[in-house]
Amino acid sequence: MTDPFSSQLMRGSLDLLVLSVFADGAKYGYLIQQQLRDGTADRVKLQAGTLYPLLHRLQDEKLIKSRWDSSTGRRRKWYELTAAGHKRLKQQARQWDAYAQCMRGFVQPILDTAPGTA
Amino acid sequence: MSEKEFDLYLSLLGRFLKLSPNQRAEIADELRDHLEERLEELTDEGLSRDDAIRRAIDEFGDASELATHFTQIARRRRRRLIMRLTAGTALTASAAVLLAIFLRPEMPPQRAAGQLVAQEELGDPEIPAAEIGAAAEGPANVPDPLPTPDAFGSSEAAAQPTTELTTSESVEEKLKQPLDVQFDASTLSDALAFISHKLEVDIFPDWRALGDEQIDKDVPMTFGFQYTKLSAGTVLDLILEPLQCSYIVREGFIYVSTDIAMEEQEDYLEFRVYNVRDLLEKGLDADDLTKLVQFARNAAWSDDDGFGGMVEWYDGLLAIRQSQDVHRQIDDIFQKLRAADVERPWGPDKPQVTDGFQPGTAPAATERFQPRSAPPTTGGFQPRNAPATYEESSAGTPTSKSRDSF
Repeated sequence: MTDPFSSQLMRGSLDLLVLSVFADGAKYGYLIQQQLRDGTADRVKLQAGTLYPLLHRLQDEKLIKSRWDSSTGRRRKWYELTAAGHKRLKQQARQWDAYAQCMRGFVQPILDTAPGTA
Repeated sequence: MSEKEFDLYLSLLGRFLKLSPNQRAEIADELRDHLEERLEELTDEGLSRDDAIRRAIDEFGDASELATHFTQIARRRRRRLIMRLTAGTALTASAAVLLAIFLRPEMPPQRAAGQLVAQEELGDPEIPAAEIGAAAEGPANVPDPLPTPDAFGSSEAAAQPTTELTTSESVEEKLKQPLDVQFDASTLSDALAFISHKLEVDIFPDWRALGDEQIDKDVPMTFGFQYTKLSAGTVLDLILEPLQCSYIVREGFIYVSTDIAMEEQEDYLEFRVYNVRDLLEKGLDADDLTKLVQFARNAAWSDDDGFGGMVEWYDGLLAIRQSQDVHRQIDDIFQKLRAADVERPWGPDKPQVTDGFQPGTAPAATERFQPRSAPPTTGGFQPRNAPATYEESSAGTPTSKSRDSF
């Protein structure tokens, strides 16, 4: 069970995934990538070439904002949620949760019977 | 510790990015930080330095593809802006053209009309034709809330507007007056307050947008300067440009914000109509003028850049949608062309002038200027005059010419 999730599966929820990383404060690109990787036991590998354009797009949509800061000893671009971003995150999280419950309703019976019949 | 390979990759990426130098530099800085950290992590995991460098770069993928992603994001934003503008300005734009055509009989052919700003209140039906005629007689009738300084007295009837000044236009006039400036470690808010007081025009800085770019009103500006007799508009440019900020004139006041936030403003691109029939009669053709207009600094044009302003011709009227900053430059270019003509008139049989403006020399242009008889003065008039002043204006340096012309 350590195969990375397929990009096909993740496509619709990438924004939500990245926004949710910001829930506990400001992050910079590398840190986001690390947290996603570590928090999912390597199953979510968001390539740098995907992550940065995505961050720029979210900023463009005013869901996150950025600033340059050197207080960690290194000059870095930090991103954090805007008020609109917080709102969007909540709303998408709720939507995703409802969707997951629906999905579970369909796939749970399969999972329940699968081990027995296999 | 910046790896040579990283620099190569980032400069390659930069070449593909169709963005401003600042935006390119910011993306390069951000990605370099990532590459360096990734390199550190991979070598800690035991990879050789060369392998780690290669892997870190590979994770960003093809430079041109990545650049396309970044560029598209910026373009999408601008396109949204333009679409919003197009819907809003289509009506006012056509109104302006109609109005300009309506005013045409009132304008003697040799006179330029100044320009008409596409704003609804401009269409003031109360101005009787006689009054327009009277205004044409002399500069004294042009409504101007401030006494024009003597130095500004000008023989150039060409620059006089034909219609009543709208509130915005009178602010534009005030911005042309000279200021004695002495800023010595003033704060931004002091500097703006000073200018506001001198011009008797309110200046509203968007402190929130400025704050987003870490520009604090109370932090002293890092430069001090002491210029005399710069136009107020130039002083504002000098203060705001290093901060990547700019100003626009709205109904009766001046609005200051960051360049980034400014592009989001509904009225960032403004529609104006320039009457250049006098210049066309002098032998400059529409292509010459279009080219000159497109030389303006910091101007994006929708045809070339996929976003930004546009130029249209309507029977000797040049309709342009651009930012106020670019409009100011365009205004300046036309005034200098007219001033150059007053100094040393050029006519249909003085071909050198066009050569000066058209380094490429289109064959069609030379045909038009067949020198039937070379007048004695022609030899002395190398096109030094006009192109030189234009270059100064394109560099943003105020010249005495630009101040005298109003």
